Amino acid sequence: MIRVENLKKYFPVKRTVGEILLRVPQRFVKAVDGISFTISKGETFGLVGESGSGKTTTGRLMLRLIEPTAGKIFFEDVDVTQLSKDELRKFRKNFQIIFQDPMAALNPYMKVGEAIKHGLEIHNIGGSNMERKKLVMEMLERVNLSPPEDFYYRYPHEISGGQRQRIVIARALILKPKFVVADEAIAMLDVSVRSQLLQLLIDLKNEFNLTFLFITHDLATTKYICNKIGVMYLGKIVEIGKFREIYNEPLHPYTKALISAVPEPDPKKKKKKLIPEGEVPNPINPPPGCKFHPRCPFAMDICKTVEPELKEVNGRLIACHLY
Amino acid sequence: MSLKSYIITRIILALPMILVLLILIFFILRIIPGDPVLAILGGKAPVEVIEAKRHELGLDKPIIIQFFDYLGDVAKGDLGVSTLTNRPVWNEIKDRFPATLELTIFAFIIALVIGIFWGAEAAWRKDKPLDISARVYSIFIYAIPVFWLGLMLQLLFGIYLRWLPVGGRLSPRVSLDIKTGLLLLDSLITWNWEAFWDVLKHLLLPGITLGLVISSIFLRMVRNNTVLMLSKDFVKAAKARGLKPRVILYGHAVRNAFVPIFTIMGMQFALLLAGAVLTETTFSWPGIGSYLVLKIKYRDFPAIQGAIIFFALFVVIISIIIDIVNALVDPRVRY
Repeated sequence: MIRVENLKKYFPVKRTVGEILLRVPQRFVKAVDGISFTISKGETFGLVGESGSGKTTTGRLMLRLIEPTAGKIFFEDVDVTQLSKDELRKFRKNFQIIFQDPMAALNPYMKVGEAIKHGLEIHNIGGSNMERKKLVMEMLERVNLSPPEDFYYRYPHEISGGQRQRIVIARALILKPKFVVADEAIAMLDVSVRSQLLQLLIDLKNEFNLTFLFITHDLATTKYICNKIGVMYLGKIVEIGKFREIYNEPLHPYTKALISAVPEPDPKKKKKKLIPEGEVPNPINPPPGCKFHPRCPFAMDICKTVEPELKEVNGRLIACHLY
Repeated sequence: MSLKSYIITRIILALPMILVLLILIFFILRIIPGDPVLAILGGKAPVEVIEAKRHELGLDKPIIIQFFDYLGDVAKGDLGVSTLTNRPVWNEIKDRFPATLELTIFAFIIALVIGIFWGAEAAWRKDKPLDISARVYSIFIYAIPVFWLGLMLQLLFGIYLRWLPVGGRLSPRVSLDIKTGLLLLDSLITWNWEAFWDVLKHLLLPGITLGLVISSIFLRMVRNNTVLMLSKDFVKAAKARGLKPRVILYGHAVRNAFVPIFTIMGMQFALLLAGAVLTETTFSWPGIGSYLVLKIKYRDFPAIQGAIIFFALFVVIISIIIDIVNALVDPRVRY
């Protein structure tokens, strides 16, 4: 249903006046550097990686909240990158986003009920104001904020973090989108509320038959919701495949490291941890060849010069010279 | 704390501030060189006449006694009598205050329009020419002395182009019934269009001078706060919903940016009045600012003290009003 082809986003690095005068060439942060993947209808695609790997940028690019430098995004055969501004605004009800920080995601001046209703007004859904209000009330009930009248007239600062995130979810889903990007949607919440919200997302996904892009740095949560995952490292996808297969048998050294870092509940099982050494390299000046090679325990000579392409290995895609 | 008790607290807290201000201004006036009696009578008056005048004004008493006499009068609401004109200071201030009010409101509106619209559009186009020009403009205008800007505008529009008058509030040939003292309003309610145009023409140059100076601060504040708000997720959420850019900018970003701006506005108002003193002098505008300058020249102690207390009260009241408006507009602010 959604197909991303060679998507790129380069952010220019600000130059000082001195650098401009000295004609220092413009440098770029290659936040997303040519990624391709598809998400089928009803699927939940988990995008995992460390901070700065380009996950969030990918999510925002797919909704065209920021403009891509290059590449195409097909949504049911419509190329989203080619839509004009007006077409795009109308098209937006098909895809929505759930943000990480529920306090920043709500306008402090708007009553939460009004914030949810706003989307209906913009897209002229549900005729009269009364009808829209009714839809909002139903939606509030659906995200387990009941009685809804108690919540409709509150301001964001008057409700708890978990409740705010439910509002953000309700606001995204009231437009009946087909595709939802959940950008670290539960990362900022208390651990006690996380599982409830994760369950809510799973229920809603089944009920509305949603297609999800689930962005997270926490592989453990992808276990509960994702069918398929893509692992990102420095703006590139290094491995894509079915969740079960990758989780049971990671192939790419970076994926291996990530999975070995997932905490094991049983203390008797001793896992060997493969934490990569060093820090993530500077994305302005990434290493040549495979971007992971300075931290990779299996690095060969070829890794230092030739950048590996994504290729199919055992029914999944991997970018590594080992395979 | 309820809004009512908050306002009462603010007013009570303002009283010691005004007392301190009064003590300072009272004693500073008497320390600095210059003698009100000589200023009125001139240096060549006979000694007996000078002494008689000094006694009449009560200036021959010890300073401490003078101070407590004055304090007692002020507590009763009596600001004393001008040594220069023998009129009650309160009446003089009352006559001149509408001119200052009209000028400051007009300047404030100009500053708001420039500040909000340019600031918001600059924030939307961050680092583009409109934004860079806004930043350069605000630094330049902020650095220019008010009176110099006033003089240059007078020179251009008043002398070379002869489009606008360089001083005063109303041409002598135009008649107008004065009711509120705000001439623009007076001419409107009496349907006196000739007077309205004349008043507006007089108001334009001083209003623009003062307005431009204040606009530089507004512009910077609006631009910076809006840039901050535009980076927030609720703005992206509004965009994801398919909201039009204009509505996102003004309805969501600028509106939220106004919380800190409102708070600073109270303090800006004090600056506006300070600017008004210079602007009024430059444009012979018959308000409190030029009144103060005139009275300082003649060492008219009661009048200077009265005008300064009046300014202080005015700033306090305005900042209380702004706090109230802030509380009404922002759901998070509750006193």
